[in-house]
Amino acid sequence: MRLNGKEFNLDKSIPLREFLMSQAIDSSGMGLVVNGQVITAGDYDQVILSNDDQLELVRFVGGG
Amino acid sequence: MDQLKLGKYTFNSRFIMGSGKFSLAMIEAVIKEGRSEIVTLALRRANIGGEENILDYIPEHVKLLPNTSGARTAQEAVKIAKLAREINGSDMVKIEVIRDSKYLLPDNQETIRATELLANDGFVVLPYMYPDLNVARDLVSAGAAAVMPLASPIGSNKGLSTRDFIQILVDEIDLPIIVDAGIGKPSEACQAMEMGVDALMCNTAIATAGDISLMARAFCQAIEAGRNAYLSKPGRVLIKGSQASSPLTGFLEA
Repeated sequence: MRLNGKEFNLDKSIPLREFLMSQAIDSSGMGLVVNGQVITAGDYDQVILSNDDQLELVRFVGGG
Repeated sequence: MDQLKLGKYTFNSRFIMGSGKFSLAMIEAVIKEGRSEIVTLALRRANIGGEENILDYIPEHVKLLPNTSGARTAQEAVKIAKLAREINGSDMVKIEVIRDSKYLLPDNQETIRATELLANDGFVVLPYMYPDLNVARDLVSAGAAAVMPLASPIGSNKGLSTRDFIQILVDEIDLPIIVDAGIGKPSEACQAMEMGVDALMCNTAIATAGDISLMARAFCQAIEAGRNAYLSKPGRVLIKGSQASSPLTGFLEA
């Protein structure tokens, strides 16, 4: 799987919410994109990540 | 009361501040000195190890205006806008679609497309554009809440390079005109407001100043001065000749 552009190995498919917890990622204040699709917070349990997927975690930063 | 209306939102300040190029500690001070009620933000990859949240430094009464910087097409801009809305409900968005990395000039056509898609999805859309009257009219038709013409290239501090074309938009477009990008000095911001521009966005001019807080205050004062001057309707200009301020009757003849 690719996580924020870097290779990341997933041993098995896992729901997105569980993945975030397993990596101790606090996703509050973040936006999540799986394979180019914006994931709403309500769907974190429904979306299953596998090693073919691309996950992007984004946040607000300074900008003009 | 003289207020700025952008879609369903109303503001007392006509100064929109960019938050780029500042340390997080400075952001709060700059917003306070500038008395801005709208601050732009960008979206970028998060540091998975955790980091400070810029939103903690922006006062609660300030409206967040995410931009779609990084987007090269309308579709990418739409995706970024929806992501921003997903993070904290921001339904106001500045569309920035740029595929030229040397001059950072906006792609007007993709901007029109993104405006229509996002306006139809309930966003209050502020599109950043290269000043062109035809494009501005298309943005109005597409559902924009304002039109944001650039003054000079982003980050240049060059000033009102496109002044005459901004004036055309002020004269012909019924939506608020917000000058964005390239303003370098408070005097330029004041001049834009005197022209009838409705609001002004600034980032680099403040971030690159020697005294950042003081420059934010100067911009705030300049924008207010320019707006008051515009509302006062400046007096006529005599192209030739002069007119004495006091009667020309003397009192010193012998």
